[in-house]
Amino acid sequence: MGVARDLLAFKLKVLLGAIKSSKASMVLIAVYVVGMLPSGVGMSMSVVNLVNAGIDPTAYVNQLAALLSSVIALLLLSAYRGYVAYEYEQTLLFTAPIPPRTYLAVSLLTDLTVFSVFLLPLGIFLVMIVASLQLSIISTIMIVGGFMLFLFFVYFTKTSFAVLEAHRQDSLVKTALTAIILLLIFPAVSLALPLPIGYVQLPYPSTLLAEIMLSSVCGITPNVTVILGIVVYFLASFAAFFYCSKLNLFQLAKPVPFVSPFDTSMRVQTIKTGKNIQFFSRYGIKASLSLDSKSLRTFLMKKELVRITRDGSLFMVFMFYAILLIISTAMRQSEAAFPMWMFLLAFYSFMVPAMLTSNWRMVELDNLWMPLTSGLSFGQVAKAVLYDFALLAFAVPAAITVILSAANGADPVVPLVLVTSASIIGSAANLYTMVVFLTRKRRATPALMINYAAMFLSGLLIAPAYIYAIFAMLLRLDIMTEIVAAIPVLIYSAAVFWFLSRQIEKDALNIEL
Amino acid sequence: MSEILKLTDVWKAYDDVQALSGLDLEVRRGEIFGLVGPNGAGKTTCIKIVLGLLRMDRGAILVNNVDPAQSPYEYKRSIGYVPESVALPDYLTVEELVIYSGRIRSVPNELIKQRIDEYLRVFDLTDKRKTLILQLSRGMRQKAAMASALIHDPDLLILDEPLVGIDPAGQHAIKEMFNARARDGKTIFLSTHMLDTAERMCNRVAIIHRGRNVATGDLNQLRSLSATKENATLEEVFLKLTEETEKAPSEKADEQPKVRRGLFGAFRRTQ
Repeated sequence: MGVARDLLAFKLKVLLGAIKSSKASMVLIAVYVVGMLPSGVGMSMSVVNLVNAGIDPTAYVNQLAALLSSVIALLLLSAYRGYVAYEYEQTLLFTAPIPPRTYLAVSLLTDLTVFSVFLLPLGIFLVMIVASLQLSIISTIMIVGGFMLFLFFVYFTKTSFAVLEAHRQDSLVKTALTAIILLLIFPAVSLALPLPIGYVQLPYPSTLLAEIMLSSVCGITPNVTVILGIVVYFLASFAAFFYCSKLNLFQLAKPVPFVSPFDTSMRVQTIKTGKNIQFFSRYGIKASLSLDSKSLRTFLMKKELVRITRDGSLFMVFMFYAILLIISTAMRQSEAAFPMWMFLLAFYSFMVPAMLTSNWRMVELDNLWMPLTSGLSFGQVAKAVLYDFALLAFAVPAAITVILSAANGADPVVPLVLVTSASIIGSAANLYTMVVFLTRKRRATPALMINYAAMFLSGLLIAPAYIYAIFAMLLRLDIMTEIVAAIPVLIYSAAVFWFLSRQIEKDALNIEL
Repeated sequence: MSEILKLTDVWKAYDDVQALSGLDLEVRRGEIFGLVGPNGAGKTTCIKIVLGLLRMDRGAILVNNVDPAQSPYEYKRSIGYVPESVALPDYLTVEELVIYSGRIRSVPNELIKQRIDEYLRVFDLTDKRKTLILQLSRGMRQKAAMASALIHDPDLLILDEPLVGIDPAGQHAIKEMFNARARDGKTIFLSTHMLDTAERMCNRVAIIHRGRNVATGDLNQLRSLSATKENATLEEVFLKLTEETEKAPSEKADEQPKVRRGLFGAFRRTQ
């Protein structure tokens, strides 16, 4: 018992220590908890209102069961990897005389403790329902007990499959896992498609939990067979977990780098970047860096494009614009569609440089010693980066603007000016802020704060372009006046771009690594 | 033999930690020069200041007779550098890394093509040409960094702990290459705390301790300076000299700039 207690304390310290060590992580966790409170309250109030309005919640058993079933399927997907353990666990714990069963039990308790942060909104949701509907103790026990049994069932099943997958290493476990995942998806599919079997009617664990929860909310004691059903699922999963905990999983575990939830440290960012490069370079390797480029500027721009492609930044940019296109298409019928997508475009043109620059800092910070010790002015490197960002932030929304304007018969001048201004000022302001924060006294600033500072500066500098766009729309200017009025805005944007790129070159001399 | 690198009275502090306390150093052309010292002695700080990756608080530096303060970029063209913990652009392949290194140092394309083949062969990386840096082992990364540091055939090659993580065959190839470069009049300046490596590889060694140069010379000169026996190893000499420094603080320690603490003076220094 002593070993288990010490082990639990150690694992929790490692997990929570990573959060505690970074202010940004603490802020993120606070934002999450505070941000989720209103949704917990809102959801519970909706359920209470439904019940008070005389609507029977048990009519929604199928929907809730389908949702829960899909969640189990999603969680089980991770079992395909086999059993994974953090690198520090392999070095420190697996080499110590600790039985696998103790380790597994402690891991369960650790996960539950950490997971409780995520369950907090759910807890508030339950407390609100119980209090508002003045549910009996039996109903409360049913809801909480049913949920806890379900939670343990999912955990035990997932862990058992992961251990078995690592232990057997044959297709049997994989096949069984695939079959179960498919079965778990059917209830959700059967809601949308007419499948021959009514899957949600079958005694899925998710259906049983949905019945227990919703009956209890109505103050009805659930059927004994339903309660027995979920207990049987729990016991079966526990038996599987108990069996698997006898296996020597220390030899089977795959090492994964330690990442604590909400940890925003540079180390974690590096791990994530490595994973991205591994994944995206499979597709981005075709865009290679060669000696073909004549000028150094073109070469450096190409090198940046290679990075953007291989670290997944380019994919994210396209995802951004794909979302924008979907929103634009959905709003096509609305009267406010044109001004809305115009501002959305400008917003995205402002966000894309922020995102690209943030990724650049994350990936390139440790590699900056190469250009900085090469004898090349850092201004040249920065300019190549800047041109790439501006080009990428401008080209895609500009193309979308032209296409959408042509399709809607709208005037493209104002959105084009907005996109141009937002992309070139956004790129320069973001990169300038990053370089300023590379000097020694400012290097310790958390990346999140730097990103906010960069976005704040961009927002301020882009303001004249937004003012131009608002006036052009309010005054319903004709196209010639729009063009004439756009000239000072564009000159201003170019001047800001030029000024900031000069500043980047100057401040680069103060970079200390 | 003229000097390729000269540091005079260089001081550097990180907040309230004094990293360099009036460091003097002279590295001659065509030699393999070792900078040895215990952890935290100021070796990496010294190298980073020479490379312009850190600003010194006070002092003077000359690299190839050029003052970096006057010409902050140009002087670096004659330097090649391999850092201790090699961070490289993981998203590039080995070949792309060397091309990148060559292009940013204005090496003509024809030379890059020739030298890529040569250095990839020397460092046994030919098979890894199209492999992403991300997928290389630590030793391989170190070799790739060396290949990229040599692409412009620098007059001064600076290496921070160059042999850490490299297999014996690789270490042998690197030592051979260092010797060949020194014979060609190129300079190798390496920092290490592995004294046996320094003893076997270097023509001259500087022992630095607490940010100061305790002694410089070849092994015989260091033996006589430290008054150790005739066949004393560099390790014995090193221990003797650093022990002596511990006991007798130098005159320079009295000159040490004071770091003023307090709300507004945390980073300000008084002379």
